[in-house]
Amino acid sequence: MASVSLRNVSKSYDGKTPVVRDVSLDVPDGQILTVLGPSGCGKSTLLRLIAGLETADTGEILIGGESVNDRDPKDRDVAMVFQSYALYPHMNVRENISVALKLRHISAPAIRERVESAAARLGLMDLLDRRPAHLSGGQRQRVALARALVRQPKAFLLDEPLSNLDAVLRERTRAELRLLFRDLQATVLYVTHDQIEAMTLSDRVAILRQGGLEQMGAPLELYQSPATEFVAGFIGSPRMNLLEAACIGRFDPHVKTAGIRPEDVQVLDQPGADTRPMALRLIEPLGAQKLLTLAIDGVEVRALVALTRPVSGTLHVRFPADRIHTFDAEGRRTD
Amino acid sequence: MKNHRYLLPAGAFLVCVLGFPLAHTLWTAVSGAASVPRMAGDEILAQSVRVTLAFSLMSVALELALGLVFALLLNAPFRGRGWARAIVILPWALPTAVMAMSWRWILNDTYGVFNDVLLRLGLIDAPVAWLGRPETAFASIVLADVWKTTPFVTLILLAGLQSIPKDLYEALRIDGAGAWSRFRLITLPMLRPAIALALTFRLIQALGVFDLVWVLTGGGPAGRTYTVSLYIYDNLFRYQDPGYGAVITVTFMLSVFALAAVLSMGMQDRRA
Repeated sequence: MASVSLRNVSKSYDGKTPVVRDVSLDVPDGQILTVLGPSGCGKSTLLRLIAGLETADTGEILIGGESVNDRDPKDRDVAMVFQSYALYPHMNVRENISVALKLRHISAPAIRERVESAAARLGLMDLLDRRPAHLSGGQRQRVALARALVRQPKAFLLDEPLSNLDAVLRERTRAELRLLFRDLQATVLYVTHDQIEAMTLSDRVAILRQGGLEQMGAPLELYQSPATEFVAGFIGSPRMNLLEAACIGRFDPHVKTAGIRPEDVQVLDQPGADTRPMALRLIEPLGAQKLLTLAIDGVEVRALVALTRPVSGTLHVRFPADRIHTFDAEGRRTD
Repeated sequence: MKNHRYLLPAGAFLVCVLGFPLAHTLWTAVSGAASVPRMAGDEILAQSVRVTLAFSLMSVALELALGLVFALLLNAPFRGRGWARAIVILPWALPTAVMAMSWRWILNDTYGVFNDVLLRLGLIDAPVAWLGRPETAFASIVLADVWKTTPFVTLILLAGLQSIPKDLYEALRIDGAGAWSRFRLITLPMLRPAIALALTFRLIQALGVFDLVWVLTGGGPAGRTYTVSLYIYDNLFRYQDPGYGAVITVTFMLSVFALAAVLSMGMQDRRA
């Protein structure tokens, strides 16, 4: 395994609209970095740039400390798992997994051993003679993974590898991936739009927005102190309340927006210090908790409370000062 | 079930244009069954079968090779690709008789543009009667057929190429493949059904070739371009021997059916 670094990488397809804007990041050897962002934010392009399927307009891409800008995909020694899996439909599972080794002129017995070890690791031993058309979605996903594993590449690039699986399988595979990559001490770049995948899988998360790097850090760091209003709204579910600062009694000229997570909003039955009355609009049970939508004067606030807590009519809401995130007019964190 | 009545018009049409002639031919063949042994010793038939097979194999092989090259070119992104695709199909859109007539003029020994060009280039010293000499007449009908039907093969192969997902090529590039390996490991095997389809259509058409040869050479010179279809025609209309003509027709049809069945096995999509 090796480290992967990007230095001021930019890419545009039409020469006008940047798809990736001046992105710099480092994935140290053996770490998992998740690139998270909404659709169209350039995260897949970022991965394709590293794989060599696209050429960067400016900037440098380093794998294992060496610049690979001028190298073909085949000479970059990275493995990629596609969202569609991109399994070769006319080859059986064994052939699919062994193609990369054959192309590298590895001896037949060595190929056999490595293919079977990868297949065994992913529970594919009984499926080696099947064609992709005769596999379930989860099995195809594992073949795609085995095809990447067998290479023993310098880094793994995964492009939304779980998005075509159903919810149960996705959750299970997510945990398996984490264990697998930990065992392999693999360097992984993992692209997803699913923040739960990002939070649970990664050592660090990079948030991409309109091609630019918005914030990069440990998952909890992003959750606890989002650097921008965008990250604040993007990370966390239910979404953070983002209000005009004045609505929560902040009159600092530098502060435009104030944010507070639904779980940090205190809901009381009786008025107290710094509380304000709000009308209950909607109750959404989420299991152990329920999500309340409260409103006053056109301002809506959502709060999480225990499912068993009785609520009705007018409630009194308090926003604890140490739980409030503040952002300026450009959306940057002010503290 | 009762909705089957809506199939009646189409069914009646098929009975008229396919069923009736087929039944009529079979009946004529049965009545001429006594001439079946004649086929074995018929030197003209043997010669026409050799000509037909040689013509079919050569023209279809050339069409497949050229069609694949054109399809690959037209599948690559370039400026004006839409126009190029439209232009390439033109020869195929022409009626065979019309284009055969044009080729006859192009290859004409006295007035033909082909001789003119070769003379000006200094490649020949005197005009050549391309359609009048045995060795060049055969090459001429192959050339005209390749010119006309390569577009058809190109079209089928192009459709086949377009159905290959792009990410397979990308995955293989990352897996370590260069251009040739990508062609060998993805393009060719994934194109197999399209190739088999083009091969089936073209072989059936080429084996039954009539109009092109009829207009271009009339089967001559010295029977060098005399195909089975021409021989059948002559039996039916020149020698007034419909029984023998029908016997050859049915034998020929069954052979082509058998060939098509073998080819369609190769057409099975290996992905399934």
